[in-house]
Amino acid sequence: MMDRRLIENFDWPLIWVLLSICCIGLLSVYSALYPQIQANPTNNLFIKQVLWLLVGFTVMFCTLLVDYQQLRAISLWIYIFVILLLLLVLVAGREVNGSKRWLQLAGFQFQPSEFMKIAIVLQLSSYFSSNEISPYPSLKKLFPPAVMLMVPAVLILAEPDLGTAISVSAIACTLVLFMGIRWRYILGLVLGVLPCLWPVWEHVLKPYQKQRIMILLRPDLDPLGAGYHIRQSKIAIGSGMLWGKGFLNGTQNKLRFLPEKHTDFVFSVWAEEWGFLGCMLLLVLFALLVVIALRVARRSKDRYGSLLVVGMTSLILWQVLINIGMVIGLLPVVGITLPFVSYGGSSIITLCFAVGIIENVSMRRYTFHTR
Amino acid sequence: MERRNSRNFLNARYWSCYVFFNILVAAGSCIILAKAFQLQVLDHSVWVERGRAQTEVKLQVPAYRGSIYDREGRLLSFSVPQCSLGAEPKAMQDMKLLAGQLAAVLGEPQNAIKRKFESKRNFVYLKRHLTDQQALAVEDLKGRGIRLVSDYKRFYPYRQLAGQVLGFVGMDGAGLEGVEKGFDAVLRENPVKVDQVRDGVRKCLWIEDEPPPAPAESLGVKLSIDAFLQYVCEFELEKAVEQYQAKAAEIVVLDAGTSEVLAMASWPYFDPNFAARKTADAWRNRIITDSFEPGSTFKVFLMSAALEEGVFREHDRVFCENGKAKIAGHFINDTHPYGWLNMPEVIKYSSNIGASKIALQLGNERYYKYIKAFGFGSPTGIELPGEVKGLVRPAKKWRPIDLATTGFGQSIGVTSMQLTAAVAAIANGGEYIQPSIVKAIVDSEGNPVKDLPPRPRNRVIQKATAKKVANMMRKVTEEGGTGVSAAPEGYEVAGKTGTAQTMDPVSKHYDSHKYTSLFTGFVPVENPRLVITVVIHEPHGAIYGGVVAAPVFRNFAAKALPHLGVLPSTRGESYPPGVHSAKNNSAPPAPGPAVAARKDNGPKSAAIIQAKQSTEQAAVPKKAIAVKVAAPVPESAAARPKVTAPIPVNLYTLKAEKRDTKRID
Repeated sequence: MMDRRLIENFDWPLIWVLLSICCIGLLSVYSALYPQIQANPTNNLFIKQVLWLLVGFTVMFCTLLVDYQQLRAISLWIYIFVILLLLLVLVAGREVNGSKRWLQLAGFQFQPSEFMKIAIVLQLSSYFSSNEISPYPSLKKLFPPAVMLMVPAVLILAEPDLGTAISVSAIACTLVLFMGIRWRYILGLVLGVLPCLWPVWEHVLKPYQKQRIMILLRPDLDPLGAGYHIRQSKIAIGSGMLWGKGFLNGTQNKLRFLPEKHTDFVFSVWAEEWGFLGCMLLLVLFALLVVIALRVARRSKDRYGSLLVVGMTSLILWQVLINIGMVIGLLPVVGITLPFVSYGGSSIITLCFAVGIIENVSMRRYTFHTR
Repeated sequence: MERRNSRNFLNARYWSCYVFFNILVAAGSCIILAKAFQLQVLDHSVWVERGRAQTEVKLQVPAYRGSIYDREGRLLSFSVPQCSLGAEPKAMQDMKLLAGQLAAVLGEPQNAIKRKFESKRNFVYLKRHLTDQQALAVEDLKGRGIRLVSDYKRFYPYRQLAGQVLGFVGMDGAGLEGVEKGFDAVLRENPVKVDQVRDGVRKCLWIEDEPPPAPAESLGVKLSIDAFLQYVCEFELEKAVEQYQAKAAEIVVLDAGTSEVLAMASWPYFDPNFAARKTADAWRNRIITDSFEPGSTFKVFLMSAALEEGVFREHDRVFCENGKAKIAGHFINDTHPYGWLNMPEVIKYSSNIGASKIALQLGNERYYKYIKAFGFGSPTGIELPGEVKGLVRPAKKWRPIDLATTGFGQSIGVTSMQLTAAVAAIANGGEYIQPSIVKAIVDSEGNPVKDLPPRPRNRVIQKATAKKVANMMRKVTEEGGTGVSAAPEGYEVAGKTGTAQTMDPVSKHYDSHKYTSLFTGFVPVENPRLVITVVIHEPHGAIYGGVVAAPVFRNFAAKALPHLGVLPSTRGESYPPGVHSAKNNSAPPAPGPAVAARKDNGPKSAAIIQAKQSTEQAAVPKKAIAVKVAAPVPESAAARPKVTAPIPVNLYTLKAEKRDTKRID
């Protein structure tokens, strides 16, 4: 049943790079959770993270089994299903720190908004690859994707989860850009959005979000309040210096200065212990991952595959850029995790699925399609 | 068709897309790496420093109260760990049972304990400072809402020794009297700091499994008190008090060179270990808190002023009116009638009439200036709490009779400390030095961390004048003087007796049955080592300072001087190396002590009060009748080659001796 070419076209570098990133992630999470691991060696978040990675790779393997073309048929259903889940979260979600992001199912917790990233890629790719759509689509053709984006974006913002909403929007925009967008639309968008900026700042953004943006502009404004996260993160990164403090020698996370050390701010833990060289290594690995994925997109012989790969790649790329930009003090603090490094089950499964799709497209680049 | 379209599409779109994505990746990575480079390589010192600043803290080690030492390093007061028992009533279950068990252990009524259990507070002390046996017994009951709290109890190993000087501390460790109060801040302070690492939730961590440091002892205070001398003077004072059934008594011993307090005792004594058993009256250090009329002892300051001002010279004479004189409209009496007396004789025989005439000659302003310069009328500044300034009325308010009586120590109030410090000024050659009792602030090992600065000193009279006055004071203890019984064998003493009536605080009249007996002086006359004042309030059986107070001086000096390495002068005996003679063999030794005092200045104020009613106005002589005498009084006496038996230096031996005579508190 398995075509020999499927094996031949399997993109091994992608897997090696991915595994390397996962190793870095495990090292960082291990260090970030070290006190907890010491206290409870058998049942801790690090063990869970390893299990989640195993589940993720299983998901990735399962994704490979099915031709990605099959997804086109069910993408709308997946999309609708996730929308329903998002609605369910708003009704029955578990509230943590003032936001409802989690659904509890059979003892597992997961974030439907994470799955929305996949769903939007599948749905938009499916839409843009249909025969009716040509490059540089008209405004009329761009209207349905806009609705497809707005519905989940509004639902996710209502949780509220600004970070994921931004990711989803960024992914959608990337796909639109990939299809080609006319200059006058861009101009129109800019002219339309600019007047909205002030009302948004005044009425839509919450005080803490405004503060985060202010902190970005003036980092020393409130070192113990709103600027605390970013200051501690910068202290961790800066004190890592060129070579780093060495594995498990980071003090910022051990002494409980770093907030969210195993999730959003895991990069600080890595940067403190492995220094500038460690940062460079991680960034090079992520860049390699993206470049390899883009090669897959280029080699793909159909638009759907290309769009899928580009969408999945942008899913990873935007998260990396936003997360590291935030941790390092270039962007305001939003809740976005670092792919394959941060702790988190939903995130890992989503990302493994994304890489699975990329690999799937790579494997099946020469297969003949009847359509 | 689809495939070609698709392929065309890809070919057409791919490159722009590829470029876009690569630019995104490259630009993003570069910006992030540039920022990381800035943080981690260029500016790393800023962030390393910020990290260090927020984690590293210097913390003071918890401390318990420091110790008090005497000048030889003997521990006079220190803290011993002794647990206290506390209860957390909210965590308690079977109150009744527990109260019963605790009542058995603590020996307290069950109801009292139960009442404490019913407190609404989170924590109540059940009993402070458990004995070790009690603590062991309570150990089994722990964890049922009661717990043992680490606590310290103040312990004074020499019991009543220097009780008022040391003071005591309250239940919560605050100094309440004496040095404990005066140096409370020092005794509580702890300079030991430890590097610590603080975590993000602001708790301190002891890194690398190091246990937190044990509480350290705070800084201590080293007193200038010598426990041996303190013991001897308390012993001698109590002996005199018992002999004369006195109401109260004081003794101050200063180092003649530095005005450091070597010993000071105020009878009745009290044991700071059981401070609560006595009243505030017993806690008070009367030496600095109570003032009294110094009586004839004050004549030495009058004489110093008169000689220094040149109003009289040493061999000038005054007529003492044969025992009874009317001065400024009041009668002034001498105990024994005298005719013409020269200056040394006025002091030696303690003539009130002579002193009055000298005072009148000196005048208000000049006399007042010297009284203030000798430190009267203001606190001495010794490092003890509660010092009073005494009573010196401003010179402008003195009537002539006030001036005359101030000349022999009436209508003026001084403390024993002021009196002793002023005599010390004569002893050391005319310089008043602020008396002090603290030598140094020491660490827990007893090593000085801070020596207190030298005390201020200022010259009151010329050295030559001081010498002359000292010589006059020596005559007081020589054959025929009022203070013969103050001189121990083999030492020459300069001193002055005093007997003052006490003023009844209610009626403001002198009480003709209550006297204060004083003796103040220094020893040896050449190279003085000790300045000693003995004050005995309301003695019975005898009243004169030369009888009641002077023997205390003698007995103390006889034991104290050998302890200080000053051996009695002997003829034809050599001293061991390092021990020098009390005298430089320039003057012949003092005559042996007369067993009984011959005379002293008697009660005089009764006469004055009577005189006040009389309207007779006697003219104050404008110029005292003064006749120069060519030859000084020759000094001649046979030396007594007897050496006082060495004093047992071991305090414990003395303590045993002491215990026999001690009254039960």
